[in-house]
Amino acid sequence: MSNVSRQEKRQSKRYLCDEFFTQITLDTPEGNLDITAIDFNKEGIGLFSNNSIPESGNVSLSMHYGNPSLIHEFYNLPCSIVHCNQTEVGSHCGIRFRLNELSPADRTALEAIEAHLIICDDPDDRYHLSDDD
Amino acid sequence: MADNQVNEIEIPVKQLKLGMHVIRLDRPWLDTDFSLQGFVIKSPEQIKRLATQCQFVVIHKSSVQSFNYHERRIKRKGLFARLFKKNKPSIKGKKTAIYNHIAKAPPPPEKRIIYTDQVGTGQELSTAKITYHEAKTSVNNLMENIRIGRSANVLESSQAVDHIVDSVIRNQDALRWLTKIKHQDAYTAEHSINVCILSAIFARFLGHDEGEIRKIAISGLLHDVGKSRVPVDILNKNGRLTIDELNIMKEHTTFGKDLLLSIGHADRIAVDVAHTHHERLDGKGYPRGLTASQIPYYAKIIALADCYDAITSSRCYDAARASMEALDIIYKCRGVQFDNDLAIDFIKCIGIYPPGAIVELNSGHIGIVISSNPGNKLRPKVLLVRNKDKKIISEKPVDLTSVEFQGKIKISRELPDGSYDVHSRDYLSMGSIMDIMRNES
Repeated sequence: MSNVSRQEKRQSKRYLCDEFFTQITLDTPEGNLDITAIDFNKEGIGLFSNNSIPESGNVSLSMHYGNPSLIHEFYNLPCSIVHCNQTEVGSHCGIRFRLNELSPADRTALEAIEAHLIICDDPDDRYHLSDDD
Repeated sequence: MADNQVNEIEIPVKQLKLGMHVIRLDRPWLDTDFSLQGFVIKSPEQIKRLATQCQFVVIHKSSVQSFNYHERRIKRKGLFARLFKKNKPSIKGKKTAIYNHIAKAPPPPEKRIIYTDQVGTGQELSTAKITYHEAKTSVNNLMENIRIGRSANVLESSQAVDHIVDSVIRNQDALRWLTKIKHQDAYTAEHSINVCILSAIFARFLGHDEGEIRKIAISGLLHDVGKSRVPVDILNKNGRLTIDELNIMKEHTTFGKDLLLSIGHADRIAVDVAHTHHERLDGKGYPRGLTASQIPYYAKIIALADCYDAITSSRCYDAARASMEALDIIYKCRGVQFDNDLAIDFIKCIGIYPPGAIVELNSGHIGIVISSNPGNKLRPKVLLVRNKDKKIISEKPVDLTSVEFQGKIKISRELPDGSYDVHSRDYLSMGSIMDIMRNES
């Protein structure tokens, strides 16, 4: 058996990010990294980058959420890297927002984005492939 | 001859020639002993077999043109045309290889070959296990010989690839199951084989012919051969790599290209793939920062299989991620890192709940996906191994499409392998899953 097992540690489910997450930058001690948003909830976000992401520590995240009905700009959201899986194809990391350090406006926006993703979440067609079949 | 559609012609079997591409018969494929639903005539025996089973076939017009081209060529060059053709080195084990055709995209829908499994998964698994073991030995030998400066036997790897492709064509799930059985201390060799298997399965899904599948599979097997020149302490480091170590690791692409050229394996596709499989469509990949149009089609295929297997493999310093997490990454990075259309096709090929995936049902039970139901990919057959309190239970296979479960029990989420101490490889080696699949076969 594997010595390294992975148990689901997340308190709440993260939802697959939609196309409105753009201009995502992670400010780390090693510099600013361009990054792709993978999944999200109001407490945190999963990110993927070709660059090396630190294994842990405090960082800040900036991003633009461009849904026409819910546009919001986030600047330097205080976050912590919870875990980072480094592979030769890229680094996949989990970021937790430091909620008690967020402004009420940012917190409300995060909640609104999560609510929107919950509505759009379709477990029967996660990648919207049914039209292609 | 009668024209049925623009690109198709119906002809009597007796008029068939080598090189013609048969699309349909005058009877259903399933009523014949042909395993492929469409193929290119490569031997007179195939024509004889067709003649015993049908009178007319539908062929591609383009294959008639291509046949006529060969006829004209023979007339122009006489017998030497065939001699020249015979003297052309084949892809396997020769020092040079020249391809008349290098694919730049999947075949168009009308030329896609639709494969059906010739044998059941349970029936194929025993052979697949031998094939996997043989391939692992071959890759280990190859990497070790390169590392200690001995001559590398690429022919042995080609033979291993042939067996892998043969197995994938007979049944696409048996070897796919074995890619789920991962040992973190054998990552490099297993990863090469898994990428070879996954890319062969993907090429089959895309409808490539057998020759293309072999080219793609050998490129998959050799894509990381350059890692044999990366220092072992970096390759097997029990922890994260530093930036400097990562930069050395990234050199495996250039090492791989140089190595394949130096050992005389001038298979240009495998050389290109070893060099370019970490390039990205947005030009931010390595080693050369190529852009979309500069990255070879084969490298775009291997990049997907490479990413999927890397994310779903456990390492000495970190655990494997679930298949769905890898598919999420591929989906979100499509068009930027990965080719958009190929990424979508790859997700369809792997499926939401692939065989071997560990899943939690909405009842709280934990199970292992045994096989998917073609009519309902969200309701596969599952082997239940934990109850709702996550306690061990006697294994129970259930079909989530059956009436007793419809509308009540479904999969709520996929979990990483090892969750609740459930490892798919343990159940495969104990034989429970093999027994079920044998019974299904």
